[in-house]
Amino acid sequence: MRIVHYMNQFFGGIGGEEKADTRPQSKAEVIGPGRLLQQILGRDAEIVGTVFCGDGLFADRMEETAPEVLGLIRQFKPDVVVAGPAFNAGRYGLACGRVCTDVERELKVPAVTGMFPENVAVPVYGRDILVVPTASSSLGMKEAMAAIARLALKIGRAEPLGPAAAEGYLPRGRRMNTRVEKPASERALDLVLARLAGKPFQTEVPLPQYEEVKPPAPVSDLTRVRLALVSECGLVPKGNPGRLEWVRASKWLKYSIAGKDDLKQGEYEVIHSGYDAAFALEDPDRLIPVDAVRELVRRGEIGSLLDTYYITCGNHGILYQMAKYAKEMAEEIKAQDVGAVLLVAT
Amino acid sequence: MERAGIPTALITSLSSVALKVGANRVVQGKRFSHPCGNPALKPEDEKAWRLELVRRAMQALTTPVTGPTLFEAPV
Repeated sequence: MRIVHYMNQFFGGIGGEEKADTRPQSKAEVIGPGRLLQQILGRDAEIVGTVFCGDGLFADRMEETAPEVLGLIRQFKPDVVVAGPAFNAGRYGLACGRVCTDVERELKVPAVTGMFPENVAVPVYGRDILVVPTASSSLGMKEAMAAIARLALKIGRAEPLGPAAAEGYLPRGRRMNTRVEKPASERALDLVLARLAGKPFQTEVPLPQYEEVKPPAPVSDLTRVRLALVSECGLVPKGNPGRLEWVRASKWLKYSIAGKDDLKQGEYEVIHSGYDAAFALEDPDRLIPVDAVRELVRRGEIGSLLDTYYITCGNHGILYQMAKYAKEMAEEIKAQDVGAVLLVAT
Repeated sequence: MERAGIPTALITSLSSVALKVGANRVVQGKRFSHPCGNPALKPEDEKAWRLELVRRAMQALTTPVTGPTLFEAPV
């Protein structure tokens, strides 16, 4: 098994922060922490090359640097790529995350890295790549490399990976099928008994964590504000021109309501299989209240209405994807001098 | 939206869920399949009801809140 090891200028032996602009380079050698990795891998795998690059350069000019690093890695024809471990180094973590992502996506070669769970790169790349949890500093090198080596051999042999907790990597938020000894009812009772007895227990279904968002200051003068309409109800013009999906939407869309006093029956359809759309199709204003908002604008109670509504389908929406769509919509909406949003959720 | 600093009123029938996940200005909608509709009413009355519902949302937008807050639906 051929392994290529990616590391930063520090572990590559070039220098510290003063060498953070080191250009991408490669050597057909085992370098620095690679020696420990090779020792643990034993005869099952060989580190055929080491690629390194300055953290500063990689982080500051990622779009140019990442392809260069990938090119150097490719030359060694790896079966597996190991990056880092980066411990709690932010820029190094981002570099390792990007390298692993590119290697898997572009080279179709499995990759593994190691990071302290609170490394800033974990929320950025942690869903897509294999990250072994490490200590916050290189004092934890030995344990980190042992875990990395074990996973590297496993993915190099294309053996199926078990759940994160069993295999020792950071959860990627994926669900897998597995066979267990006891039925759900017994496992649930075991959990209850453990809890009542004050013993440690581990839920099988961790609940999503919702971030607290500080409420923005209220609108000071409604009669001067521009309002935007946003919804996840899946209401789109008849024919669904943007091809919104009725479940697990991969996109958000926007449609003009310029010159429309209300949303007319027959001109819209609902792409959302999570509810019965019969009442909404009779009068789409029952979902997105264009008629009422226009009326309040006419009466001078609201400044104006943005002539575009923003829409996606929330049916089986995945939290982090929906958060991403909202962020993208918000950026666009904000750039159009909008001071308030009316959001309708079905 | 609110993370981007835009005050946002959320009209939804599932207000308990909205409040639990941290939406700050929640307005009680009618039903999940028509949050801004009240088909039991006559068309003119429904229009008036919807106007009132949107007014509640506007009231939510102009009210200072410190965390998830529910604004009741018009009757």
